[in-house]
Amino acid sequence: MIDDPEDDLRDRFARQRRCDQENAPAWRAELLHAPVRRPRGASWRWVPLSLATACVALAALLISHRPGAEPSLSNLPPLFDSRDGELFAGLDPAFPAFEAPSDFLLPTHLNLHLP
Amino acid sequence: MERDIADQLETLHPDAFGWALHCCGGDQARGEDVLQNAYLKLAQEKARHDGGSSFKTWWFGVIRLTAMEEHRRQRYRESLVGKLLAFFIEEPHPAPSRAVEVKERHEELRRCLGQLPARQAEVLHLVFYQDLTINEAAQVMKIGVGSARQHYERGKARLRTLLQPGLSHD
Repeated sequence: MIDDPEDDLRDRFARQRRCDQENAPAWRAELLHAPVRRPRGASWRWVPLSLATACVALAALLISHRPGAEPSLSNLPPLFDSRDGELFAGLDPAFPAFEAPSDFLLPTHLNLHLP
Repeated sequence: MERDIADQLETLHPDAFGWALHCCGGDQARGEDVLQNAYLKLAQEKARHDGGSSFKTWWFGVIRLTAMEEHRRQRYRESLVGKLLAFFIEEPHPAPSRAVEVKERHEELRRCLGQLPARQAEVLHLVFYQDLTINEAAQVMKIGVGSARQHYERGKARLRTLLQPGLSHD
């Protein structure tokens, strides 16, 4: 009798097959009708994140559209005080007017002459 | 669904699970999901046996295709985008007892098959585990018979080398 040279592999696969079949899920007719299984809890894990995002978005919306939130111009504080009178009146007349060496390059209407 | 198809599915169920398990690299949970999704394809008539091949080779082809789809989804989950999403939606890990159980099931043969090119491992599983002919295995794998025979011979030689004591350890 000649041994099949593939017997060793067949034996190993047969053992594997027996082991797998012992752990195989039992046949149920419902398998042909059951819905696709999804990772358990995956949909519920979105809930806290979605709620937090929705709350932040709602709060931002409420704050930006709060009635009366825009101050009128009359309520703004004065940025600076200006006293009535001639411009540069407070300047010492004896202060020598500064002339840059390149002033002659400027058009005349751009030259500023202090009193 | 017709009664005779349901009966054939019931008869093939243990071997179909073994094939799904092989297509998922021995991952029990994924194997169960793949098989259930394959059953669902039948129930929803997304897959129909046209009689061109035996019911078993056709059914195993459906399971293989379903496993490949599942594998693509798995790769997406492992991609950068998937990891970012997983940061927010962490999928449940198997319980420790379950993890040990799965680890124990990673036997030497499966580990060695995992080291072979996928086609070689598939044809060996179909021929030795499922008792299909090389011709039928080629039909399941959607490749030519010559190509399947080549994968079979190379895979067999390589598997023998890997199964030798002292060579198969990771």
